[in-house]
Amino acid sequence: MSQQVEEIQEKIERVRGEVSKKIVGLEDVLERLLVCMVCDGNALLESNPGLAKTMMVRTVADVTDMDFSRIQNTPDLMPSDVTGTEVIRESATGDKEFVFEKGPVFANIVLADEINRATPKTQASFLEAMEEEQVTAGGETYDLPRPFFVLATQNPIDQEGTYPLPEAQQDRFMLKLTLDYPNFDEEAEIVNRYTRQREDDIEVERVLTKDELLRAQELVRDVPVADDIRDRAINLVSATRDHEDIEFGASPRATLSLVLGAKGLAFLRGRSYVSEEDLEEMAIPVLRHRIIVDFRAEREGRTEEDVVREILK
Amino acid sequence: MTGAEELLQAEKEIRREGAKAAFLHSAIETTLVFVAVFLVIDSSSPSWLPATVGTDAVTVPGSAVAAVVAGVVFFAVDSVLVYRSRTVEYFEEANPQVEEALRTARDAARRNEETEMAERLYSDVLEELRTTSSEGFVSVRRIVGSLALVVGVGALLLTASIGGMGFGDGLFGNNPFGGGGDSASDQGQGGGGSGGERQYDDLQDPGEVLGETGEVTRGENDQDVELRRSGTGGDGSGETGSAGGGNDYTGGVEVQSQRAEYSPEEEIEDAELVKEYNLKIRGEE
Repeated sequence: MSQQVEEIQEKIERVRGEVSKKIVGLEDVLERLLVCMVCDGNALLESNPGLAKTMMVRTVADVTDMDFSRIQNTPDLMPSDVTGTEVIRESATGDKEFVFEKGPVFANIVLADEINRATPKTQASFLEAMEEEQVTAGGETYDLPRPFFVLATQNPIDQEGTYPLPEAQQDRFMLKLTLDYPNFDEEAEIVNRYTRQREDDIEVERVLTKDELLRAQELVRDVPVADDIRDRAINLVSATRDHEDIEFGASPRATLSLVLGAKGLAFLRGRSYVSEEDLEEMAIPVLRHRIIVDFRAEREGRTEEDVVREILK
Repeated sequence: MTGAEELLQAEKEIRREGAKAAFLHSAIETTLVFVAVFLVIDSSSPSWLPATVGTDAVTVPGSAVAAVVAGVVFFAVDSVLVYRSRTVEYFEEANPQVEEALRTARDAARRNEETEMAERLYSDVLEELRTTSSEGFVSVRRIVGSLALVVGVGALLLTASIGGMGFGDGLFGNNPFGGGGDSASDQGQGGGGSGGERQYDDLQDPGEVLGETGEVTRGENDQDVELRRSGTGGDGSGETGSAGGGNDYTGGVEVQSQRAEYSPEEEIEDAELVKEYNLKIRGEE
């Protein structure tokens, strides 16, 4: 029993190793991405272009034996382009019938690139799929494959012609991850690695099956949490509702994500219990997109991360 | 027995260890209190305390009885206080390697969680507890400090008794100076004791200690000294007496040499001048 847990933890550790064959740096982002996966959550990824978001997600899909699809969001993207649509198809007998043609959202890992470029209607179709893990079309309901994981990206610059995600919809993303530029050594390694060979030349091994990932998700939910750590999570989230610099605080869904994320991090690190550090490490990625600093604080240059850090002290 | 039950059992075991540690602390500190109270009471001999307690067959010094009572009361209070402080939380703090895991496991066990991860946690924590010492419950510094004080106060008691300073007569034999007594009957060292039970007649007469008293004749060493000045010093011609060497002193009687004396408060301004004068006086004798 315990051996199986250790085996899965070991395999997830190997996932990191395999992904790092292709991705230089970004260890923290990868770890949180895996936290999201083992918690059965979705992530919002914010970064400038060219920081290997797509490559990372595709590599994770490769090493975890999962279907991967990428949707490039544009203003003319329709909900049916995402979820699928019914088409008329002629059968072998010559009869014509409506057949549901599944859209790109029917994959284990869906990369929704630049989600803020899609119209609110299309965004809503994504978010509904994320929340319900099913798609309804033509009166029929279709379950999405399990595990199901949406990674949506946003570009912090070039906001013209975008439809920023409403706060209520951002709340549905378990984590918001931000990517920084690599440091000098990392960038030198990237240059060395990818000017001598192509991305496809680097082979990664498939180390984690879908079933094992689903099992990991069950185990993560079973990780025990001490009462005082649970209480601290509640107090942390509550504090965002009363903080003077915050216009809108985080919802109870944030508390759920915080505790679950801390469980996921503990599991990834081979522990059977949640520590204070797990909670603190997850606080910023869980809360930063769920709170809004008020005008005065924003004018003083304070960000959501600053406020969360202050609450953590 | 499930993992949760085993863990709760382990928690009880930790509490038992805490109780043992509390007993150890309290026992040592009670010894200290006993010795200290005994020392204080025996040295002050309060009037309200009888010198001895007991029957004709068995008598116990009153100070010892008071010290025992104080020790019992202290032990009762201290052991409860220390026991309350030696909680499982205290154990967790003293053993940081199991702190969070044990805390989480205890909470999970109380919720009767029996999931795979919870069982794994119980198993890990129980394994860790097997190699964790409960010595964290014992405050070594506190024990060493208490023992040092016990030894120190005990040594003081013993030394004072042997040296006849008046402590510990109840335990170590007769006390030559007694102790206590009301202020009215105090006589110098230690007083005579107001209760009348203690007899120290041999020391009531200071003459026995200091010897016979007698008249002492006053010393006398009067000497007549005549000082005569001659010479030309100070006549306004620019010569001073000292420069001209004209200061002559002649004694009318013989002056015996005496031991030079000076007052420490006075500062000798010119030792050489004093010496010169001294030599001149002797040369003229």
